[in-house]
Amino acid sequence: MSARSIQWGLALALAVGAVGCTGNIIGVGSTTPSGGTGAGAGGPTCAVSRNDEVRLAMQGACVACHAAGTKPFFASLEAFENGLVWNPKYVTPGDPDSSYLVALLEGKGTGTYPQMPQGVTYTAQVDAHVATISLAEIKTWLKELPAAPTSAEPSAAAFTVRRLTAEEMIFGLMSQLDLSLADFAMNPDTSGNSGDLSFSYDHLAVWPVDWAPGIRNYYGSDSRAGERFLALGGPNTNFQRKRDSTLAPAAVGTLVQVSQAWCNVALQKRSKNLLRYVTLTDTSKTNPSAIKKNIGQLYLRMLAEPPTEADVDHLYDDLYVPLETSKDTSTAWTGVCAALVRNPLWLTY
Amino acid sequence: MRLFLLSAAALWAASALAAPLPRCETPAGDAGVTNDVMASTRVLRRVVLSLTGKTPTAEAYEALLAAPEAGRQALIDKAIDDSMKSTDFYETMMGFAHDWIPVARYAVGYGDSYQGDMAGHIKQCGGGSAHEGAWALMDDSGGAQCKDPSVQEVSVEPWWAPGTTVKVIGRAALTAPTSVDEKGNPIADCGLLYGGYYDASPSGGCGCGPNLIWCYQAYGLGGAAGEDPRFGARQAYEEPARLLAHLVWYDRPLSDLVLGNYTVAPNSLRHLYVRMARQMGLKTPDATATWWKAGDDASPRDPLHPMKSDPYAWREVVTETLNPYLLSLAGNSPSASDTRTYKYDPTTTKEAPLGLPAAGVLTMMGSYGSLPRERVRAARYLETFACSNFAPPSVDQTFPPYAGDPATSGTCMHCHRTLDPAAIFFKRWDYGQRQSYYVPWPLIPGVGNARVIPEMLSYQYPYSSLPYVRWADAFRPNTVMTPVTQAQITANPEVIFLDTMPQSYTLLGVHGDGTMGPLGFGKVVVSSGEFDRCAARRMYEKFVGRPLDPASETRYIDALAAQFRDKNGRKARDFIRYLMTLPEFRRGL
Repeated sequence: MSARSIQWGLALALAVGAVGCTGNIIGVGSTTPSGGTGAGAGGPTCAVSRNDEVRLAMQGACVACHAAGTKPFFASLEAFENGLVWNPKYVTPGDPDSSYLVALLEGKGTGTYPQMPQGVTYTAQVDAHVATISLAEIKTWLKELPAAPTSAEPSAAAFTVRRLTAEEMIFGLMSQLDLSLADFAMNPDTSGNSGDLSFSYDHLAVWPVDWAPGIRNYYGSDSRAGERFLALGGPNTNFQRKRDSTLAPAAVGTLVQVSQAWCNVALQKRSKNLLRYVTLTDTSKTNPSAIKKNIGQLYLRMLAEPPTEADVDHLYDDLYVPLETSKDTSTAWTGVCAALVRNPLWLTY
Repeated sequence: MRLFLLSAAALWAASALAAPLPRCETPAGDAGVTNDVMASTRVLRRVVLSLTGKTPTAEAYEALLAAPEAGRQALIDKAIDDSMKSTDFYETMMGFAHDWIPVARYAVGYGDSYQGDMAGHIKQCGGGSAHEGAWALMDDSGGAQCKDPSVQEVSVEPWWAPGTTVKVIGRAALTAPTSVDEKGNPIADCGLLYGGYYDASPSGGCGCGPNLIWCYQAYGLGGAAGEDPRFGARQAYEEPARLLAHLVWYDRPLSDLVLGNYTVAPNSLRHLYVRMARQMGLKTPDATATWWKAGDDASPRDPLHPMKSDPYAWREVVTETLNPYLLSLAGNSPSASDTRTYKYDPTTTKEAPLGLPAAGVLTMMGSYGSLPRERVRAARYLETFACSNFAPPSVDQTFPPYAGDPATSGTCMHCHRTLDPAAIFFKRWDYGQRQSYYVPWPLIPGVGNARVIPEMLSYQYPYSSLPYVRWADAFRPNTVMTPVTQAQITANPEVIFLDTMPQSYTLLGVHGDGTMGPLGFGKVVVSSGEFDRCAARRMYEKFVGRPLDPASETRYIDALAAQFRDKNGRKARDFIRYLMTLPEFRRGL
């Protein structure tokens, strides 16, 4: 499935809050350890390489502390090889006596952690069958270990696309629609030092509560604007409220409302960013070509990709014309504009 | 990666084990791999969005589409340059810093300080009074002096608004350095205040001093001060993020965040630092102080406040010039040299240390106030600057029974084995009620007038409250965090604040260099290489758009860290430019 072909299917998924499936979109903070075979509930069943075999044989003594955290050496085969086997701090291929890993297992390490595992010797863990590879076998493995590879690449499989942050959403949309604080605030203070903003009730203002990342030299104390910002994912670092990196239903719901309201505000001020090639008096009957041209430029401006003819026709036939027919051109343009905001190309980084 | 695994498998000539495991089926080929290289217009959007928070103009997209394929990268490179010159970039870096460095509002918890001041509170006389708009001490403002036309008004250039004057009446206008109180007892230092219920006030016959430096233009609880950018509380919260944005803007190494003797601060925050030193007993020459004279300050400042005289400008300053107890170790010049060092061992002397070596974010007032105890500081800073991850132990993990030290026994040792050697560096900062009961003020234990006597560890009145009982509880002898004996404590109670990591310890795999306090921690984090790895990970996540997996991608993280450190000099702009050349930067929808 190509990335482009999943876009509209993903839009549907986003609309119902089901994220993290087809498009491999995850939140910023999510990680998924990858690689290697692991020991399930029934223990290791097979190994893909000699290193994997050693990892699986050692892990009973090590995995409790080293499956996650700062040194997650036993999270996967990739983790084992990248973090331990090919790490000169711990292993010197071909020379077990110079390998700090061996010193740790023998309780001859230095500093804060002189022995691994902590509190019990590795040999005792072997005797208790917690680990199934002896120190002697580990030394043999190290002696025969080939040199570490010289290249280091990111994991191709680990690639993900994140959602836009709340800040990127609101500042991005404001720039796309040519909106400024003056369109929302009743008392914009341009001094930059004491701008305690009060927002109009009917424009669905959204603003960071905490001035992070800077709010163009203003801060806003309007609770409704701040609550919407938090619904989009926040954060409010001033109050130790962390960013929600998922595209939660509250974020999608808020964005739908905000997109419609802001597109309408832009229309009311006849934003040239929105109405570049048409006016609101142009209709599908009087000037269809201009309307399609305007849809095309809006698509490029908001999604950063030139539309295909089919993309334009889809928006024109299935959205613009029905809304214009049932309501008016203003509603039709609001609908097109808001639909583009809900497109995965808009929502993703 | 896949090719290498296959080649490694080919080398699997013999098993390492006496009883070998069966070999797994090798997953097949390239099926399912998607061509997810973005269009150049999408790359342009990602560049501008990540650097400025905004999106490109329609004209920028159209120009890119009109350009020949070979010329498009030049347009994207120009967009990178233009974006990095924008003040939006500075603000974006502030937001990045707030996500990275978990310092929250200053007036939280026991480090409470409301407006973020350690000074006498003054208020303006109300409308209709004889001195409308004039500043008076709290006990005068609503009273007779505001109403009495015969009270003399004095014009003063206030520290918070250099170049302007305000009217001051009554005792607030007094500037004498010494005085006598109501009972005729001498007051040796009018700059040393004692707090009231909410509002601190100069003693007896003292006033607000030269340029009102001993006072602060706020009163009461100051509930909104944590958000209002004019107040010290708000500025203390912003200070770490402002410093990071400043380092990026001026192309300084990011390691200055934990190694530097300098910070950035507008006037209210400077005032907070100055007042802390005064409240710790240091008599600085307030009458000739220049820290508040923004117009005379040619130091680098934030791009959002270009006006030279703007007191709200975040101006670079060597912290010791504000609070001499935060040691520069490099004179009045900004420095983050690893040769900056100060060693102090309370087990060998009863002399007080000169102070704490300044260490960027690690010795900021907002950082200390937000993270109010040493182990919390250690944990958060290991997470922040070393990307440590303190995951709980698994349920089947066994530990020796608890025997009095969480770093060496019991389940707690799973984390405290690492935490407590780090916590050593962060002991020497607390909050005391001695001078301000309702709003405890910060102090550096063992320094200035905050010397520690044996009675303070006795749990007996008047030392039966915080911070004394916490010192007695937390700093137990013969523990990893307090590696001194009871006999040494008996001989000199200040040994409990030993804040140098012993040479027998390692943290992040390295030994310290003997530097006391947070700077010692900063040096360990940088010398271990973990700062570079962590900074590279943070920036990769921000700009490429996904977190790197420290388990499976650790060697790649090492390579990025080497790029950041060795080729980019730890400068963010150069590293970000590098990230934007990576194939992964171009992957997406």
